[in-house]
Amino acid sequence: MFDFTQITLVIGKVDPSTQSINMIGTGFLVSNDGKVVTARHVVGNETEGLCVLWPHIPNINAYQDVSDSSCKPVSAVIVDINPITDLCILSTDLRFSGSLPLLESLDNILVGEKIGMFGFPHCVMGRRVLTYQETEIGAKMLLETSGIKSKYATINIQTRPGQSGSLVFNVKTGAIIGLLIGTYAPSSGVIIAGINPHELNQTSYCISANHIKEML
Amino acid sequence: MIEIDNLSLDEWYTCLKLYQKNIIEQLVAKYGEERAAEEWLMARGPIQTATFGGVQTNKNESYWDRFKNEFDKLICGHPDYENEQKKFMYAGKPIGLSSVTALSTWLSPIICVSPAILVPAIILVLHTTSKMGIKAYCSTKHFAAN
Repeated sequence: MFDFTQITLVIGKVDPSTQSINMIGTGFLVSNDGKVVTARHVVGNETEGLCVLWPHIPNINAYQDVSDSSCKPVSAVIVDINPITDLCILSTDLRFSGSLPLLESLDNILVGEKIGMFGFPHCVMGRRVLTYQETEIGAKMLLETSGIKSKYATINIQTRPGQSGSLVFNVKTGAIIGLLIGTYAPSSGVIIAGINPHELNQTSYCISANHIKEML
Repeated sequence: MIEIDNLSLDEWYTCLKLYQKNIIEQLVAKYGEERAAEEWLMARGPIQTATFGGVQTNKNESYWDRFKNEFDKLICGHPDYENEQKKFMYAGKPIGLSSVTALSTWLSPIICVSPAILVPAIILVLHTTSKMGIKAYCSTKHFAAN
């Protein structure tokens, strides 16, 4: 199994009133000189206070102590945003000497083929557990923003807050084929306890990694 | 008064990354220049998508309105931008390709968006304004008192 523990990162934001770090989503390294990709909606519009957390475990089989709140933050700055695809590139001082997985288009994987995903479900609630999930590509889709169509895939799994920006890869080749963006949830006209009921019975989708590659 | 270089849209596009140029060209073909700039600034990824995680943002906030208001103030001689206007005039050169980064850096903290997202919108409104002529463009602008 490919282990992307060392390149999958928590995206954080410093709370200026307490100087503590709020975990706001997932991202992953896409260059040896510290560029990190995540979803634009994870970081919002302002660069101030953004950081990434240095990996806290050596490999995915290590026990993750959920009571351990220590972390090594590294400052991050927004260097590019594509509001059409909801992608964002951050620049950090992280340096990675290993070889990074290739970024490939969803063109290179078939519906029904296995994919793996590394991310931090529930990190927005203060829980830091790097989690590996495996599923299949359920469909390939063209989704539109302002009339511009981009490549996405439905993945046959439900996802949780904090997983936006997760690394999605082809389990056969290890190439990164996408980044988790969100889930299909049309407006239901009803909000119960702040939740649109359609978000509870969801299909998740990721955007094709070729849209990341074109930003680098 | 500040002047803007009389450049073609293709010349302004040289400030953009290739993927931005591809998107902006499609937006301009579909909506026209000013609306394309607005669509770019206000886009939030595909519709009917629930996102998981991230900072709280006001989804109704119009970055476009703020951007346009600040841009107009800068170009049309509003006192809020006196220093910036002087810098351009002392430089003795019209606003051109080399000014786009400075404009995005000035406007970014005022509009509360990263400079990275502003560049395509800036080149589109600069081109629109230069086509119309700054005098004609500014004659239609009326700023609320501070």
